Order: sequence, then C-alpha cells, then structure tokens
Amino acid sequence: MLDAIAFEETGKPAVVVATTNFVPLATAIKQSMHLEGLPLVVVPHPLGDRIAAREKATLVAADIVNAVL
Amino acid sequence: MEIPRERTRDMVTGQATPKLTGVDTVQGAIDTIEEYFARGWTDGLPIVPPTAALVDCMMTASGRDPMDVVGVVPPRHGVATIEAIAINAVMAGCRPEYMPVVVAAVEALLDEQFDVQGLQATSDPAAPLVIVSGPVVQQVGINHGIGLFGHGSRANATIGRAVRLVMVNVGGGHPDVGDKSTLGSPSKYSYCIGVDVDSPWTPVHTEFGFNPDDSCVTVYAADAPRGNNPAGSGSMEFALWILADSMSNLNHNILHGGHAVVVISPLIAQRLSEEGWTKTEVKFYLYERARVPLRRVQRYKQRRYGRNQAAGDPYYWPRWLEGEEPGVMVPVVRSPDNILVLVAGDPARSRSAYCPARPYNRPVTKKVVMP
Repeated sequence: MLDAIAFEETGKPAVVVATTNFVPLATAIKQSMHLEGLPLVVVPHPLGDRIAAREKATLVAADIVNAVL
Repeated sequence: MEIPRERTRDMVTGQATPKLTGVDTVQGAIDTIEEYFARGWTDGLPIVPPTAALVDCMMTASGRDPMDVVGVVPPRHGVATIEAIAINAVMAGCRPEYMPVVVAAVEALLDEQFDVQGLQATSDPAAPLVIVSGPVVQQVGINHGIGLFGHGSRANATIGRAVRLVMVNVGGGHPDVGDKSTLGSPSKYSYCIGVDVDSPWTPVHTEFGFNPDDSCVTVYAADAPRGNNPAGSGSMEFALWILADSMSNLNHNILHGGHAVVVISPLIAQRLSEEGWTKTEVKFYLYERARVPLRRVQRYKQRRYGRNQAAGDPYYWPRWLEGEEPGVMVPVVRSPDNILVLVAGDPARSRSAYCPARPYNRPVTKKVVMP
C-alpha cells in the first residue's frame, strides 16, 4: 500500500494487488490516507509459492491493466 | 515531521473526534461506553469515557503541547499527538501521573529501530512489553514485585493498556485489519512491568546509554512470559540452569538474530551477586547454555522450506547453520549482549521467566521526562 502511495505521489499510476485476507487492511489504509480512489485488485488468499503466484497473476492481469488505464 | 494540519485532528478513528462533554450521569457514561464498543474504539474491554476535563488533565500532566506530534502509527498512519495519546490514556484508566511514562513508551514504540509496523502486521503472538526502570517505578506505584506480569496494579494494567489502545485506535491495529497475529495473546491487553528496583546490578537502561538515576521506558516486542520452576533448595546457579533450559527451543531468533528478555527474582539476583556474579556473567552463562542441537535446526529447515526448494523459490538460510558435524549446539541468541536480564518479581522466591522475542524488532529505550 505504501509503495503504491509513494508511486502515486511521484505522478506514476499504481495499482495495489492484495489477497482476500488483506482487503480490510488495504481499505483502512486507503481511508486513512484519503486515497479511496486508489485501485485495488484482489486475488484469492494465500499467494502461495512462485508457481501459484504466477497463476493468480495471470488471472487478474487484465484487471490490473484496466485499473492503470 | 511535516504533518498536514487536518491530519493532526485524526485522533481516534480518522475523523476529528470532539472531546466528550455532558457525560455527567451514570447512564450517560454507560451509553458512551456502549457507543465506543459499537464504533470499535476499544480493545474489547469497557473504556473510561474521555471527557474534556479528564483529557485536559492528562495533557497537562505530560508537560507538552497537546498538538506535539510524537509520531505516526502504522498501518493506518494515524497521527499520535500528545492529545491523541492523552485520550487513549484516559480511556485505558490511567491516572495523570502515569502520562509521562505513557508518552515515553509511545516514543519508544514509534522509534524506527523498534519497527511497530512489523509488530502490528506480524502473524506472531508478540506484543509490546513496556519495561519501566528508575525512580519513576516507585514514584507512580508501578508493580515490580509479586504478581509482576499479572493483575492487581492499576499502573501496570493501564500504562500497558494505553500503549495498546494507541496501537489499536490511532494505528488501526484491530484483529484481521491492521493486526494480523494468528492467535493473538493475553499480553495484547496490557504488558507492563517495573524492574531493577531491588537489583544488585545497574538498571537495564544503563545498557542503552542512560544514567543509573534516570527514569526510562524500554519497549520490546515479546511473546507472553514463560514462568519457570523455582530452584528450591538448589543453588542460584541451578536457577540459571533452569532458565537456560526454558530458553533452549527452536525459534526464529536462531535464524534472524534478535533478543531475549529474562526476568529473575531479586532473591536469585542478590544471592548470585553475593557469590560474586555480575550481570554480564549471568548473560554469558545463559548464552553458553541456552542452545539447540544443529541437527534439530536443520530438520526444521528441511520441513519448513522443503516446498520452497522444490519450487525453486529463494529463501533465507544462514551459512553457519549448514554442516554435518555431530554435537554442534547453536545458541538461541547471537550474542550475550542480546539478552536483557531484568530483576523483578517476588523477592521471597527463586523463580524466573523467559519472554521470547520477535526477532525483527529491537528493544528501544526512552527517558521519562517529568513536567
């Protein structure tokens, strides 16, 4: 979350990818920092090892691109 | 630190929370308590309604400007002003004379070296252990004797609770939101002790560069304490042997460094001192004997990281924990200096306790500044 906020503050568009278990935390930080419009893409928890993470990334790649655009 | 003025008003939940007025009936107070439960502004226990008068008194007791910023509390990044700390101290049930101790504890908590962000976010069952030493222990009545970690002392219960309420209300450390501890811990309600009043050695804060006569707070990310059996008719060296045995188990300190906190009763400390032991020698004794067989550590590696190895994932494993020499024993901390030896508890008994650390946090000590 903080990395995405840092990117946004430099003018670079950022998207946060979080697993389902971290949506409440991500939402609380967005509200606290007054960044309710920061895009959030959600994948199932847990992220898993490298192979599982790559599979989940493939599933939401289009959502990430749409959020950036 | 440059904080936008509007954010310094985020006292409790992210909106400017006006100080309460008009809570002047029992029913009014009960209604306020229930409202705070409904809003999620408690640790699960009833709070003391933070009326304007109580908060003003607490702020005055700090001797600081109410809008002084002590720090930003992650993960919600609420701003811990003196006013916000005072509100949570009132809610915790603190007396005004505790406020300088609470402020010093929050300063230590928000020090970069301590890493409160990691403590909030961790799945470990760790909580901030607030260790108070120096003249302030007796000045404000912090328990340093029998029942040290337990109930019965207003100062211990409310100072520890105030620190936790700052983490919860200002930092957003609610379970499953900003606090990811898998099992939690009773010490997340309050974890505060007084130490080194009846010690033959110099107080713990001198190890962090402070003078013996200073009053200080040391904050340390610790699991709940493990009490040990007494030495009975055995020697006090036997009491240390029991303590070292309780420390000898697998934990992430072995992989990632970190500290250990041990509490020994004044009886143990006095007898050891009479036999010529210094605190440094106690640390060396524990360092030499609190160890785990290397083969056991390697079995942990095989079972914990086996899947990572198979998937080609990188993982951290220290080079000095490789090897197949039989009989090698690995110390549970990397240096005797990483053991904090505190003297406290029932002065008539030879019991000790071990508080395992979260290895990624460091103990931080701040001076208590009286108004």
